[in-house]
Amino acid sequence: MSFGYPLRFSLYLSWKKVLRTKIFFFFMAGFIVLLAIFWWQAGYLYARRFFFSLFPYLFLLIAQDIFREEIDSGSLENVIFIRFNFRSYLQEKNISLFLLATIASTLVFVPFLLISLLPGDFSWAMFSSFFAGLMVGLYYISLAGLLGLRLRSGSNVLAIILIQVFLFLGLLVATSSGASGRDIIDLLISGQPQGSRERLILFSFLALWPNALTSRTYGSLGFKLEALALIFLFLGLQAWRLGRLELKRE
Amino acid sequence: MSEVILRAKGLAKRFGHVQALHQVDLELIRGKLTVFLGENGAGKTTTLKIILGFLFPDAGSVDKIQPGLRIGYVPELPAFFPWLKGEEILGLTAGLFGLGETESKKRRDEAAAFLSFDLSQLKRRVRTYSHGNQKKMAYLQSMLLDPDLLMVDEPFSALDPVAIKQVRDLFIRLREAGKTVFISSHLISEAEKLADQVIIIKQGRTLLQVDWPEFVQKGIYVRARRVGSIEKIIRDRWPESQTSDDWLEGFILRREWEEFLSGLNDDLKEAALKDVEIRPPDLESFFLFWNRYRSR
Repeated sequence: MSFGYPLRFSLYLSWKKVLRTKIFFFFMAGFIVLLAIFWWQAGYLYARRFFFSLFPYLFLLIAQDIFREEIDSGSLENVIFIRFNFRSYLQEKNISLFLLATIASTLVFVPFLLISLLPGDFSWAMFSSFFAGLMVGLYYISLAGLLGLRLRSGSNVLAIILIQVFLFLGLLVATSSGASGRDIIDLLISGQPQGSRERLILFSFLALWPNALTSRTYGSLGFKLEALALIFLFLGLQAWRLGRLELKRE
Repeated sequence: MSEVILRAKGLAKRFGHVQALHQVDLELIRGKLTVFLGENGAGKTTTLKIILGFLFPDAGSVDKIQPGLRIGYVPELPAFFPWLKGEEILGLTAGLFGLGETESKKRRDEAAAFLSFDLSQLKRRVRTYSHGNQKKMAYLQSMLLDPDLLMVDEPFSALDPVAIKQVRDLFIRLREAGKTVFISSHLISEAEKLADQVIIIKQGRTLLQVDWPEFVQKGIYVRARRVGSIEKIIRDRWPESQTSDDWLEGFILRREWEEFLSGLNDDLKEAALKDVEIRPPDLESFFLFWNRYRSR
């Protein structure tokens, strides 16, 4: 797949930008500290589960202000982008950010993998969860990218996090709001929909909190295909919007 | 024989309710320096951005007639990736365009010496440079590509008088090397020293494109009073002139002016053309004349 802009330069630019993004490193450091605490307090398996649930947020964080800063700053009105289309460069940022976040995630995943070999905690499902996490990461990048075409200064990421906060607040309220609320919670815990209404509920839940895909409950191919369909939708919408993007800075 | 390397035809562009361009036509000729003149908001930058592919035209087309045309570009307010140092930007540019380290260093050093750009600044992020040095950095980056066509929006803005002279000399050197330069500028006095071609744009329409040195050689500026009795004759024979109340003003080729006069009998000349002022054309009054009066 070629977008006309050399990927290694997109990677280089993204890497340099990530190096400047202090919050990414704070998050990485905080994440590792939390993993260590979990490991110490609750054991290796809990820490591993915690890792799989949360590492997709690295992808979300790396996608903060993915497009707007460059579009608004005027840095795309550069001699480079007369020959190498700036729209292709922006599109390829999805790939370069995904690769960078994958490297960062792998660096944390590998110790888990190695340690699992020692006491016999190894399971092939670890890979399944890790790859599901990578898919969730791509989901976040594509969604944050789509939002980032309009939202500035990291508010694309903030919007997603706020929606998830409201989702969990809503679920908390649901637990104490009678039978129907508890039914929903039971459905989310079981991950076994009966009928189209329940399937729609689960689909909406995963669209809002795709991290659940890393758990065994949501390990079926159907859920992953749904997420994949949304990724293609977000990337398609991005490509459509980017294809019409103009540099209007005065 | 002049060789057109880029042609824009019938460009139109609307931003919301504002029709920025109505009809822009222009040609850039190899080895010539073309000056693009127009008031603020006339559509110069929009035209440049359409040519460069940063904006889509609503109508019209840009044909790069020379295959593989290498284009350099210096915007009015250059901006660079905020997180990159000068040397990283130049390295990235050289890498993208496949320049070897020796060649890119040679071109960089030459351009830096020409523009008196202190290379030690390259260790810093470009956004920490002064406006003038950011502008120089944009020139440096473009010169790295050895462009066939250099397009510059307000080439002298943010520059001190020394740098203005250096940039002017850079344009001359490029022209001497057979390169094409296209500048959009408000600084007419500087542009006049350089212009081979002049394009005037008003309210999103090209008014004219003229070979300036030829016009300076062959043309004149004419101003006369009490032309009321021959106003119709003037309108018929010299439609590009402007008459108002009792005076006449315009730019015309000397030969055409003489033909015009020879078509008038002595009495008319005596009665209608009083206080005739004739002088060589200068770019400022040429621009002001066209900008004030003419629209297609």
